[in-house]
Amino acid sequence: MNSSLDLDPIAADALRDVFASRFERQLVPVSLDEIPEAPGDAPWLISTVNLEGSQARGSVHLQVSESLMDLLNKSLGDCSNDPSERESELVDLSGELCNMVAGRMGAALAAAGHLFTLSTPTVHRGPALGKGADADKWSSDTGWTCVGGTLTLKIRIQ
Amino acid sequence: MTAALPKILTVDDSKTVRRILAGLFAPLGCLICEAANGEQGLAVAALEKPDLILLDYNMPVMDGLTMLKRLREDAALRHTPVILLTAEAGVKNIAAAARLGARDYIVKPFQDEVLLAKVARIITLGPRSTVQAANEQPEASEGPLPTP
Repeated sequence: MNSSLDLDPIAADALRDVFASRFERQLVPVSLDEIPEAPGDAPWLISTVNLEGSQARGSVHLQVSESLMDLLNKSLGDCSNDPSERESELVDLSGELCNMVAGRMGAALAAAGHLFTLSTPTVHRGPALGKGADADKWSSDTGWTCVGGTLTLKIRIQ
Repeated sequence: MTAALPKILTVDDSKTVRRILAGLFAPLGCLICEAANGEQGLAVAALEKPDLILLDYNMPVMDGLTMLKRLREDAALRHTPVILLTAEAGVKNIAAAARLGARDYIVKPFQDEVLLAKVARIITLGPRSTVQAANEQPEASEGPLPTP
Protein backbone atom coordinates (compact mmCIF):
# COMPACT_ATOMS: atom_id res chain seq x y z
CA MET A 1 0.00 0.00 0.00
CA ASN A 2 1.17 3.50 -0.80
CA SER A 3 2.09 5.03 2.56
CA SER A 4 2.38 8.58 1.24
CA LEU A 5 -1.06 8.98 -0.28
CA ASP A 6 -2.06 12.64 -0.14
CA LEU A 7 -5.78 12.79 0.52
CA ASP A 8 -6.10 16.59 0.44
CA PRO A 9 -6.19 17.03 -3.36
CA ILE A 10 -8.47 14.01 -3.77
CA ALA A 11 -10.86 15.43 -1.19
CA ALA A 12 -10.71 18.93 -2.66
CA ASP A 13 -11.40 17.73 -6.20
CA ALA A 14 -14.35 15.61 -5.09
CA LEU A 15 -15.90 18.37 -2.99
CA ARG A 16 -15.39 21.09 -5.58
CA ASP A 17 -16.80 18.87 -8.33
CA VAL A 18 -19.97 18.13 -6.36
CA PHE A 19 -20.59 21.77 -5.44
CA ALA A 20 -19.87 23.05 -8.95
CA SER A 21 -21.83 20.44 -10.87
CA ARG A 22 -24.76 19.98 -8.50
CA PHE A 23 -25.16 23.46 -7.02
CA GLU A 24 -23.15 25.76 -9.32
CA ARG A 25 -21.17 27.01 -6.33
CA GLN A 26 -17.46 27.68 -6.19
CA LEU A 27 -15.71 26.65 -2.99
CA VAL A 28 -12.79 28.60 -1.57
CA PRO A 29 -10.42 26.95 0.92
CA VAL A 30 -10.18 28.53 4.37
CA SER A 31 -8.07 27.76 7.41
CA LEU A 32 -9.75 25.43 9.87
CA ASP A 33 -9.09 28.13 12.49
CA GLU A 34 -11.61 30.28 10.67
CA ILE A 35 -14.34 27.66 11.02
CA PRO A 36 -16.39 28.39 14.16
CA GLU A 37 -17.01 25.75 16.83
CA ALA A 38 -20.74 26.13 16.21
CA PRO A 39 -22.17 28.01 13.23
CA GLY A 40 -24.72 30.57 14.50
CA ASP A 41 -27.55 29.19 16.60
CA ALA A 42 -27.68 25.71 15.13
CA PRO A 43 -25.19 22.86 15.58
CA TRP A 44 -23.40 21.45 12.56
CA LEU A 45 -25.08 18.97 10.28
CA ILE A 46 -22.55 16.17 10.08
CA SER A 47 -22.90 13.35 7.58
CA THR A 48 -20.68 10.29 7.48
CA VAL A 49 -19.95 7.59 4.92
CA ASN A 50 -17.76 4.71 6.02
CA LEU A 51 -15.12 3.21 3.75
CA GLU A 52 -14.35 -0.49 3.97
CA GLY A 53 -11.36 -1.94 2.14
CA SER A 54 -9.45 -5.22 2.34
CA GLN A 55 -6.36 -3.50 3.77
CA ALA A 56 -7.78 -0.37 5.35
CA ARG A 57 -10.98 1.19 6.57
CA GLY A 58 -12.01 4.73 7.17
CA SER A 59 -14.67 7.37 7.00
CA VAL A 60 -15.62 10.57 5.22
CA HIS A 61 -17.24 13.28 7.36
CA LEU A 62 -18.87 16.31 5.85
CA GLN A 63 -19.76 19.06 8.30
CA VAL A 64 -22.00 21.82 6.92
CA SER A 65 -23.67 24.79 8.55
CA GLU A 66 -27.44 24.59 8.62
CA SER A 67 -27.75 27.96 6.87
CA LEU A 68 -25.69 26.70 3.94
CA MET A 69 -27.57 23.41 3.83
CA ASP A 70 -30.80 25.37 3.75
CA LEU A 71 -29.59 27.36 0.73
CA LEU A 72 -28.44 24.21 -1.05
CA ASN A 73 -31.80 22.62 -0.33
CA LYS A 74 -33.65 25.57 -1.82
CA SER A 75 -31.44 25.55 -4.89
CA LEU A 76 -32.65 22.03 -5.73
CA GLY A 77 -36.22 23.35 -5.93
CA ASP A 78 -39.42 21.67 -4.83
CA CYS A 79 -38.62 22.18 -1.14
CA SER A 80 -41.20 22.11 1.59
CA ASN A 81 -42.43 24.94 3.83
CA ASP A 82 -43.48 22.46 6.50
CA PRO A 83 -40.86 22.55 9.31
CA SER A 84 -40.77 18.78 9.89
CA GLU A 85 -40.50 18.05 6.18
CA ARG A 86 -37.84 20.70 5.84
CA GLU A 87 -35.87 18.97 8.61
CA SER A 88 -36.17 15.68 6.80
CA GLU A 89 -35.08 17.32 3.52
CA LEU A 90 -31.96 18.78 5.18
CA VAL A 91 -30.99 15.44 6.71
CA ASP A 92 -31.60 13.63 3.42
CA LEU A 93 -29.65 16.21 1.43
CA SER A 94 -26.81 16.18 3.94
CA GLY A 95 -26.48 12.40 3.62
CA GLU A 96 -26.67 12.44 -0.17
CA LEU A 97 -24.13 15.24 -0.34
CA CYS A 98 -21.65 13.20 1.68
CA ASN A 99 -22.48 10.18 -0.47
CA MET A 100 -21.68 12.13 -3.65
CA VAL A 101 -18.36 13.36 -2.25
CA ALA A 102 -17.41 9.93 -0.91
CA GLY A 103 -18.39 8.32 -4.22
CA ARG A 104 -16.10 10.62 -6.17
CA MET A 105 -13.33 10.08 -3.65
CA GLY A 106 -13.89 6.33 -3.83
CA ALA A 107 -13.42 6.44 -7.61
CA ALA A 108 -10.20 8.47 -7.25
CA LEU A 109 -8.88 6.13 -4.56
CA ALA A 110 -9.75 3.11 -6.71
CA ALA A 111 -7.80 4.67 -9.59
CA ALA A 112 -4.85 4.93 -7.17
CA GLY A 113 -5.17 1.25 -6.35
CA HIS A 114 -7.16 1.47 -3.11
CA LEU A 115 -10.55 -0.16 -3.37
CA PHE A 116 -13.18 0.71 -0.78
CA THR A 117 -16.82 -0.18 -0.40
CA LEU A 118 -18.97 2.75 0.70
CA SER A 119 -21.61 2.51 3.43
CA THR A 120 -24.94 4.26 3.26
CA PRO A 121 -24.64 7.73 4.82
CA THR A 122 -25.62 8.58 8.39
CA VAL A 123 -26.41 12.10 9.59
CA HIS A 124 -26.40 13.77 12.99
CA ARG A 125 -26.23 17.25 14.48
CA GLY A 126 -23.39 18.07 16.82
CA PRO A 127 -20.31 20.10 17.70
CA ALA A 128 -17.41 20.47 15.29
CA LEU A 129 -15.40 17.33 14.63
CA GLY A 130 -11.86 17.11 16.00
CA LYS A 131 -8.59 16.68 14.15
CA GLY A 132 -7.37 13.31 12.90
CA ALA A 133 -5.64 11.01 15.38
CA ASP A 134 -2.05 9.83 15.14
CA ALA A 135 -3.33 6.30 14.61
CA ASP A 136 -4.79 7.32 11.27
CA LYS A 137 -2.76 6.00 8.35
CA TRP A 138 -4.01 8.83 6.18
CA SER A 139 -6.16 11.79 7.10
CA SER A 140 -7.32 15.03 5.61
CA ASP A 141 -8.94 18.03 7.32
CA THR A 142 -9.95 20.90 5.07
CA GLY A 143 -12.13 23.95 5.59
CA TRP A 144 -14.16 25.60 2.85
CA THR A 145 -16.40 28.56 2.31
CA CYS A 146 -18.84 29.57 -0.38
CA VAL A 147 -21.69 32.01 -0.72
CA GLY A 148 -24.01 31.14 2.15
CA GLY A 149 -21.78 29.45 4.68
CA THR A 150 -18.88 27.23 5.65
CA LEU A 151 -18.14 23.53 5.71
CA THR A 152 -15.37 21.11 6.53
CA LEU A 153 -14.44 17.79 5.01
CA LYS A 154 -12.59 15.27 7.13
CA ILE A 155 -11.31 11.94 5.96
CA ARG A 156 -9.86 9.27 8.22
CA ILE A 157 -8.28 6.06 6.98
CA GLN A 158 -6.62 3.48 9.20
CA MET B 1 -47.28 16.58 -35.60
CA THR B 2 -45.57 16.88 -32.23
CA ALA B 3 -44.24 13.76 -30.56
CA ALA B 4 -45.44 13.13 -27.00
CA LEU B 5 -42.93 14.06 -24.35
CA PRO B 6 -41.20 11.05 -22.79
CA LYS B 7 -42.34 10.31 -19.27
CA ILE B 8 -39.91 9.13 -16.60
CA LEU B 9 -40.96 7.66 -13.27
CA THR B 10 -38.31 8.06 -10.56
CA VAL B 11 -38.67 5.70 -7.60
CA ASP B 12 -36.31 6.46 -4.72
CA ASP B 13 -36.82 6.93 -1.00
CA SER B 14 -34.41 9.89 -1.04
CA LYS B 15 -36.26 13.06 -1.95
CA THR B 16 -32.88 14.62 -2.75
CA VAL B 17 -32.22 11.97 -5.41
CA ARG B 18 -35.71 12.42 -6.86
CA ARG B 19 -35.20 16.18 -7.01
CA ILE B 20 -31.80 15.78 -8.65
CA LEU B 21 -33.26 13.42 -11.25
CA ALA B 22 -36.15 15.81 -11.92
CA GLY B 23 -33.69 18.69 -12.25
CA LEU B 24 -31.65 16.63 -14.70
CA PHE B 25 -34.39 15.34 -16.99
CA ALA B 26 -37.22 17.91 -16.85
CA PRO B 27 -35.13 20.56 -18.67
CA LEU B 28 -34.49 17.96 -21.40
CA GLY B 29 -38.13 17.73 -22.32
CA CYS B 30 -39.16 14.85 -20.05
CA LEU B 31 -42.24 14.65 -17.90
CA ILE B 32 -41.33 13.46 -14.43
CA CYS B 33 -43.46 11.55 -11.95
CA GLU B 34 -42.18 10.32 -8.60
CA ALA B 35 -42.64 7.69 -5.95
CA ALA B 36 -40.87 7.11 -2.63
CA ASN B 37 -40.98 3.29 -2.58
CA GLY B 38 -41.87 0.30 -4.72
CA GLU B 39 -45.47 0.14 -3.61
CA GLN B 40 -46.07 3.77 -4.53
CA GLY B 41 -44.06 3.18 -7.68
CA LEU B 42 -46.41 0.43 -8.87
CA ALA B 43 -49.42 2.64 -8.27
CA VAL B 44 -47.91 5.61 -10.09
CA ALA B 45 -46.70 3.40 -12.95
CA ALA B 46 -50.20 1.97 -13.41
CA LEU B 47 -51.61 5.48 -13.53
CA GLU B 48 -48.96 7.27 -15.56
CA LYS B 49 -47.69 4.53 -17.91
CA PRO B 50 -44.12 5.91 -17.95
CA ASP B 51 -41.74 5.35 -20.86
CA LEU B 52 -38.90 4.62 -18.45
CA ILE B 53 -38.55 3.88 -14.74
CA LEU B 54 -35.44 4.87 -12.77
CA LEU B 55 -35.69 2.52 -9.83
CA ASP B 56 -33.74 2.57 -6.60
CA TYR B 57 -32.80 -0.84 -5.26
CA ASN B 58 -32.87 -0.34 -1.50
CA MET B 59 -36.11 1.24 -0.25
CA PRO B 60 -38.48 0.79 2.67
CA VAL B 61 -41.98 -0.72 2.26
CA MET B 62 -41.13 -2.38 -1.07
CA ASP B 63 -37.62 -2.63 -2.52
CA GLY B 64 -36.73 -2.12 -6.16
CA LEU B 65 -36.30 -5.80 -6.98
CA THR B 66 -39.77 -6.65 -5.66
CA MET B 67 -41.28 -3.77 -7.60
CA LEU B 68 -39.49 -4.96 -10.73
CA LYS B 69 -40.87 -8.48 -10.25
CA ARG B 70 -44.39 -7.10 -9.80
CA LEU B 71 -44.00 -4.94 -12.90
CA ARG B 72 -43.11 -7.98 -14.96
CA GLU B 73 -46.24 -9.75 -13.71
CA ASP B 74 -48.43 -6.87 -14.88
CA ALA B 75 -49.53 -7.28 -18.48
CA ALA B 76 -49.83 -3.52 -18.97
CA LEU B 77 -46.41 -2.66 -17.52
CA ARG B 78 -44.21 -5.67 -18.17
CA HIS B 79 -42.45 -4.08 -21.14
CA THR B 80 -41.68 -0.76 -19.41
CA PRO B 81 -37.89 -0.25 -19.52
CA VAL B 82 -36.26 -0.05 -16.10
CA ILE B 83 -32.83 1.25 -15.11
CA LEU B 84 -31.87 0.17 -11.63
CA LEU B 85 -30.12 2.71 -9.41
CA THR B 86 -28.16 0.85 -6.81
CA ALA B 87 -25.68 1.64 -4.08
CA GLU B 88 -22.41 -0.24 -4.34
CA ALA B 89 -23.62 -2.76 -1.78
CA GLY B 90 -26.50 -3.69 -4.08
CA VAL B 91 -24.37 -4.60 -7.07
CA LYS B 92 -24.51 -8.30 -6.17
CA ASN B 93 -28.24 -8.16 -6.92
CA ILE B 94 -27.70 -6.99 -10.47
CA ALA B 95 -27.95 -10.53 -11.82
CA ALA B 96 -31.35 -10.90 -10.23
CA ALA B 97 -32.42 -7.57 -11.75
CA ALA B 98 -31.21 -8.75 -15.16
CA ARG B 99 -33.24 -11.94 -14.86
CA LEU B 100 -36.27 -9.78 -14.14
CA GLY B 101 -35.63 -7.75 -17.27
CA ALA B 102 -33.97 -4.58 -15.98
CA ARG B 103 -32.53 -2.85 -19.04
CA ASP B 104 -29.50 -1.40 -17.32
CA TYR B 105 -28.11 -0.34 -13.96
CA ILE B 106 -26.07 2.46 -12.50
CA VAL B 107 -24.20 2.64 -9.23
CA LYS B 108 -25.03 5.54 -6.92
CA PRO B 109 -23.73 8.14 -6.44
CA PHE B 110 -24.01 8.44 -10.20
CA GLN B 111 -22.34 10.80 -12.64
CA ASP B 112 -24.94 12.76 -14.60
CA GLU B 113 -23.24 12.11 -17.93
CA VAL B 114 -23.28 8.34 -17.45
CA LEU B 115 -26.94 8.32 -16.49
CA LEU B 116 -27.84 10.60 -19.41
CA ALA B 117 -26.06 8.27 -21.82
CA LYS B 118 -27.91 5.24 -20.49
CA VAL B 119 -31.30 6.97 -20.56
CA ALA B 120 -30.66 8.32 -24.08
CA ARG B 121 -30.33 4.73 -25.30
CA ILE B 122 -33.92 4.12 -24.27
CA ILE B 123 -35.85 7.36 -24.75
CA THR B 124 -35.30 10.45 -26.85
CA LEU B 125 -34.00 13.35 -24.82
CA GLY B 126 -33.68 17.01 -25.75
CA PRO B 127 -30.83 18.25 -27.96
CA ARG B 128 -28.40 19.13 -25.19
CA SER B 129 -28.33 15.70 -23.63
CA THR B 130 -28.41 13.91 -27.00
CA VAL B 131 -25.16 15.58 -27.98
CA GLN B 132 -23.72 15.08 -24.53
CA ALA B 133 -24.75 11.44 -24.35
CA ALA B 134 -23.31 10.65 -27.78
CA ASN B 135 -19.95 11.92 -26.63
CA GLU B 136 -19.91 9.93 -23.41
CA GLN B 137 -18.76 6.38 -22.96
CA PRO B 138 -20.41 4.32 -20.23
CA GLU B 139 -18.25 3.35 -17.27
CA ALA B 140 -16.57 0.00 -17.69
CA SER B 141 -18.06 -1.32 -14.46
CA GLU B 142 -21.59 -0.65 -15.60
CA GLY B 143 -23.37 -1.65 -18.73
CA PRO B 144 -26.54 -2.81 -20.34
CA LEU B 145 -27.93 -5.96 -18.89
CA PRO B 146 -28.50 -8.99 -21.10
CA THR B 147 -32.01 -9.49 -22.36
CA PRO B 148 -33.57 -12.25 -20.27
